[in-house]
Amino acid sequence: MNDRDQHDLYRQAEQFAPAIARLARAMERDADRARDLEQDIHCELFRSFARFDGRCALKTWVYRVAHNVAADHRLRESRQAAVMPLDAMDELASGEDAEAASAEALTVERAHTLIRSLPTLDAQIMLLWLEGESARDTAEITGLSPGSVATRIHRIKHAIASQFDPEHSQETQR
Amino acid sequence: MNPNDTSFWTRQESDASFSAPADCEARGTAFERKIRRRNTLELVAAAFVVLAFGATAGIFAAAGDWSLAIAPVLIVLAALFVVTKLFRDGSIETRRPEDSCVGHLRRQLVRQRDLLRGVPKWYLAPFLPGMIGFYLAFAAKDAETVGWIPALEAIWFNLATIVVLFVGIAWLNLHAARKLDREIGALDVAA
Repeated sequence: MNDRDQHDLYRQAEQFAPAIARLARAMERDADRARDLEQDIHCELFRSFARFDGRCALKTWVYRVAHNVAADHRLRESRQAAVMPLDAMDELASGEDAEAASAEALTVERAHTLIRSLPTLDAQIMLLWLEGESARDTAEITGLSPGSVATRIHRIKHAIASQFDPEHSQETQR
Repeated sequence: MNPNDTSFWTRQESDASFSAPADCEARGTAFERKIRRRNTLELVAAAFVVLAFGATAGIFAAAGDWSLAIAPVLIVLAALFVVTKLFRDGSIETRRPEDSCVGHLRRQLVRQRDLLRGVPKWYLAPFLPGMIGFYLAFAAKDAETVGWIPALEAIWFNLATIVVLFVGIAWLNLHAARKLDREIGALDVAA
């Protein structure tokens, strides 16, 4: 791989910059550190393209690098923060302190809270699902089986429904 | 909220762009910064141990107390051994963030677990001969005048403290390694 190819791939991958920014904001609460994480992902991506061999799609490569760099960041920070499994998630911050914010900002904040409270792999799956990735693509990125991804997505949807709209969740359970 | 509608999410940060490649060439990543910080800290700590205990050994050797000079030399050798191992282990750390998330996470957890498991063997045990030898050498010197039993009575508490401290640190590290082992097992089941 020559320098030109590396720069070309980096340019092509820029279409994923918004998804990477969302990933960094979701994984890191502090805005400055999130920006730092985002730049780390850019730089790791740029360096990784020197090794790109085309054995997987560019999208898969980009998401893998981005999520793995974010996971490393989380692993370093995890000494302070506790995570909870998907099926033990009844009590999350309601976001009442953000009443003044718009409904969408509140929804995003709740999604961030949910993501930060999940174990790393579940957080990665939730993020990929939020980005609109299929179970098959998510399986390729994460290395989980498609069945395992589908099960986790189902549980994530349930968690979202119960956190964002408890009444809807109770109705669907009846 | 409809749990199938994720447009609220994809509307965020829509104008984000990549950092310039030139910025990446100038900027170390968090991983590189971590390694650099760790190496500096280890070098400073090792330099302190080598200087302090090297000077102690020199003072005893100059006074002709060779039995007392041996223990600090052993501690200096232990510090050099540990720092060499840390540097060697750190330099073979490969970086492949393009692997699958499960593979990457598993490798990171295995690396941390092995590091924790190795603490008693590679980072604590090398210091034990020097630390214990230090007190025994003092006891042997005292024993020449007061006898072995009073000499050992004078050092047993310090010796026991060192042993308890080392065993405690080893247990904490092995406990953390077992926790990571469970996480690795859960990851294997999930994959």
